[in-house]
Order: sequence, then C-alpha cells, then structure tokens
Amino acid sequence: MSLLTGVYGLFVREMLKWFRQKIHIIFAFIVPIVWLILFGKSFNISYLLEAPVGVPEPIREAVQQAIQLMILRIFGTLDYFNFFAVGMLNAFALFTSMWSGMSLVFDRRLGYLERMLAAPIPRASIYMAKVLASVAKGLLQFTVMLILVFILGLSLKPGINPLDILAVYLVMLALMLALSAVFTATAVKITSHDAVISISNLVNLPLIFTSNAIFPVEQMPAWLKSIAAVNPLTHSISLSRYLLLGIGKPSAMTLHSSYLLIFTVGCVALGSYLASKYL
Amino acid sequence: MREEAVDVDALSVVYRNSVRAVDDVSLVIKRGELFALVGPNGAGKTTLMKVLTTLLKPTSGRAYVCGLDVVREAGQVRRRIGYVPQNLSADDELTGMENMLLQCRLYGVSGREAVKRSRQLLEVVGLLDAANRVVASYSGGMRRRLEIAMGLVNTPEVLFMDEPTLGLDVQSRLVIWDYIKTLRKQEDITIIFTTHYMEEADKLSQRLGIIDRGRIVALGSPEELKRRIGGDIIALEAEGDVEGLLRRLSFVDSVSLVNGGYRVKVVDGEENLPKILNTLNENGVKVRKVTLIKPSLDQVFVEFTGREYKEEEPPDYLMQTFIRSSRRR
Repeated sequence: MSLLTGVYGLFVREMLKWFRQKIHIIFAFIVPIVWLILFGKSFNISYLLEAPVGVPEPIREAVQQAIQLMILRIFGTLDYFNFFAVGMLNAFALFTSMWSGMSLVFDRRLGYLERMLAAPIPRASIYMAKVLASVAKGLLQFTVMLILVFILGLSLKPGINPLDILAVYLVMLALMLALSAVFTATAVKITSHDAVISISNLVNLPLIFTSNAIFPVEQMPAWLKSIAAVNPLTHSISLSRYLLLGIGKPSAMTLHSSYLLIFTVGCVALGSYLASKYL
Repeated sequence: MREEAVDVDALSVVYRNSVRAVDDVSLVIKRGELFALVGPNGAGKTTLMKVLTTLLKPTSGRAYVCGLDVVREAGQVRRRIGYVPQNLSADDELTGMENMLLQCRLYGVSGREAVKRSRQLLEVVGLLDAANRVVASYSGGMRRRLEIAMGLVNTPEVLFMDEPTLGLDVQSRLVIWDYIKTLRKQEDITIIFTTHYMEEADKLSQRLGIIDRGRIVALGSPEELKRRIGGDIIALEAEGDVEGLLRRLSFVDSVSLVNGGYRVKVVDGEENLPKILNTLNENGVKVRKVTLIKPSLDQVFVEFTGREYKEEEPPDYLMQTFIRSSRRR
C-alpha cells in the first residue's frame, strides 16, 4: 500500500472535521483579530513621537523629519501597523501549528488511532496527514488574515508583483510545515491533552517575543539577539516583510531563506523519524 | 506455510509493571471457525487479541495469523484481517458513510469500488438509511453495527472482534448476534471474538477458550466443556459434616468447598436433590440454602479455576461512556 493512499484519506478526514466544527473556525480567527486590531491599532508610534507643539516652527519641521527618519530606520516603515501586521501573520502560523498535536491526542483517547494503527498503512502516513492538514488550515487562515490586514490599512510595497505574494506563501508553507511537524511529533508520545495545552502555552509567547514580530532585532540586547537569530520566526518574518513591504536588505534574504529551508527539512525529517519509530 | 487462521505458540505478554497479561498461551484456531475467547475482565482477552491484530508485540513466543508472523510480517497480517476494537472508535463527527469510505481508503479500496462496498456493508448491518447521519447521533447498537461494517471493508480472512456486544442492552445484543451468525454463513471467514458473557460464548461460538489470569484454562465446544462437568451441581450452605455424609451416597460424584459453600456434583439433580436433603436432615445437619444448577459455562469456569464467575461491566467501559458523553456536550 502506498504512503499516499493513507495520507490522502486521513487528510480529507481532518479537513472535513475542521469545516464541520464551525465554532472552531470562528475561534481560530478571534485571537488574530484581537492582536491585529486591539494591539496593532492601539500603538501609533508616529503620533507618540510627533514633535511637540511648543517647538518653534522651522525647528519643529526639522525635528519631525529627524523623527521620521528615526522611525524609518528602526521599523523600515513609517506606519508601525505595517511592521506589526506582517510579523503577526507569521505568529498566527505558530498559533495554528502549535495545536496540530491535539487531534493526535484525541485520536488516541477516542480509539481512532488504534484503528489507524491496525490498518495496513505506514505509520508515517498517519503523522504526515496530521501535519499536512495543519498546514492546509494554516494557509487558509493566512489567506483570510492577509485580506483582513489589507482592509485594516496595510500598505504593500510599491510595485509588488504576484510572484512576491507567491513567495510569501512559500515562506508560510515552510514555517507551518516546520512548526506543525514539531508540535505533531510531541503528541506522538504525549497522551494527555493538558500536557499539549501546557507546552503550547509555554512556547507561544516566548517564541514571539524572541523574534522580530513586535520589535526589531537590531535594538535588542546581545543575548536576546542571539536567541532571535536561531528563532525560525525571525527568518520567516524578515522574508515576509521584505516580500510584502520591501523592508530589509536583499543580500540578507539568502541567509534567511536558507535557514528557514534547512530548519523545515530538519523538523520534518526528525518528526517523521519519531512518528515511524514511536507511533 | 501454516494453514490455520490462528496459531499461537507459547505466547506471553508481560507489561512494564510486570503483570503477566498473557501467560504461556498456545492455541490453534482453524479456518472458518467461530471462536470465542471468554473470561473475566482483566483475564488477558484484549491483550491476546492485540497481539493477534499486530497492535502489541509479545514478550515471548510466536503468533501466526493466516500463516504469517504477527511481528515480522505485521503489514501483511493487517491486510488480511479485520479488527473491530472494543472502544467505539468510528469518528463521531463524520457520517456513517464517510467513516466507511475512509476505512476503505485505509485498506486501499477507493473510488467507485469503495462506494459500492460501503453501501453493501451498511445495508448488511441495516444502517443504509442512517448512512448520511453524523455518527454522534447514532445509538449504541447502531455504532456497534457500524464498527462491524468497518471491520469488513477489506473482506478479511479473519475477523477479530473485541467485546462486540459490550455495553449493549439485551435486544441490541441479540441483533449483533444475528449479524455475526449471518456473516458466518455467508462469507468464508474466520470469526474470533472476545466476551465476558459466558452465555454469549455458549450461544454463539462453535468453539471457545476460557481464559483466566492470562492462561487458557479450558478449550473446546460449549457442549464438550459442559459435558466435562459430568452432571448437575447442587450448591449448599449448611453446617455439619456435609462432606462426609454426602460422599457415601452413590449418586454423588464429588463434594468441594467454593466460597464458603458446598458444591456437590450429582447425576440427575432433580431426582436426587430431595434424597440429599433427607440424608442431611436425618443426620441433624441444618441446611440454610440450596440451589440446583444445571451445567453452564459459568460452572465450567468454577470447575477449572475454583472461583465463582462474576460478570461485571468493566470500569473502562464506564470511562468510555463518560468521555463520549462529555465530548458530545
């Protein structure tokens, strides 16, 4: 029996279940919307750093210009929302991927896993179906979020072309594949859903704060910088900001894409190995 | 190549907590048999079945299904067998039909053939009308029938069913029995099921193995096993020299003590019970309680283990209904 027959069937199962749980889908969008609107829109750095009214007019203009250059230097864009929204699009990929192990935990509890294990399909196909379903859900959610941030006022780089969008999708695909591979693999041995929830909550915010999702890496203390450098989110965020907003040096993108590629391949290989060994 | 449906040789399974769930079991089940593994909860029925369905590796010994080693040729074994697990494990968020189609896919059947086969099997178990309903809306009996249909998608040579009537009311249980019997008649299939209902094993199986504390204690057809008791049993609660008095009677086969009561084996219990009571009365033995028991598998169990057979719903069944109902909200 080929690997793919099993993967396809089980993938369809995951998607069917997802679409049927309308309430889950709504919840999947609430958290991102809270971040984008309530957090993203409440931090208006251009207003905070406006030159005060008391400053004499000619100097005020110069100060204003200096401040704008400063903001541009730090964030690469005058509107912090641009910087933040693209960062969060990557963080959302983490949010969806980190729950990918949950369905495996429930399948184990409710006996469906045993059913799959008794079937003549390779064990890795059970794992791969879970990972791919998680990626598919993430990419669908990403599409909706991309439209949403656009409505909320994201200004794309001038002269953006469809290839850039396609490239962003590839970046998200790689990121989601890597994260889903890791989080699904953790559930191969873990049998309690409490543990999965704890792990997800434990890694969720630290991963975001040690990346450049909310603040640029350049202004971080050295020790944090070195953590950010190995955080896959930093690399996928840099790539997406470059592709969507034109922020960042083109020369740095080779490093970011190679890191992300190696990280993804590594995670998928490790996850598949663990799944076929321990499932 | 071995011809038998199941051939188990000196098989043991020791769990990490050093519990010997299966203890040196050897067993042959021929092709076409309807075989029951019966015993109390925790006797090792499910463990043995998990080894045979390749879900658990034995600690020692060998097991072959359709002549294939369940450890070294697990993939091939899986292709040839059907397995109906003890837990109701169809996906309750999907419809009966979707579950069937998915199960077909897992066994390499797809497209039009999968639809055809699914409809056929759903019809056999009487679920065609409910095929497009979500499984969460099914009754317990309907779920069991779906599980059985799912176990048949690959037209298995050997069908393993772990407690197929667990948690069902009497009526639904009879329906399941009927399906198993028809299945047995129609298809060239070996059916092996576990149950903790002695009566079920008695009525349904052609041959059965009584398993207790990981060991097969009795093996044979229900009739054979009951014949081995060699008569009726009179259970007595009394004070005095019951044993000494009754041993003297010619129609008494044996007297033993089980759970504080006397177990008297006699030929033709109806006729001889009054004689026994008279003898005891005349000798001043006070009889508190007396029961005449016709041979049954329960009695076979007592005969071979020296313990009373108690049927209880296992706690994991309660756990399962709890999880199910809390999940359904």
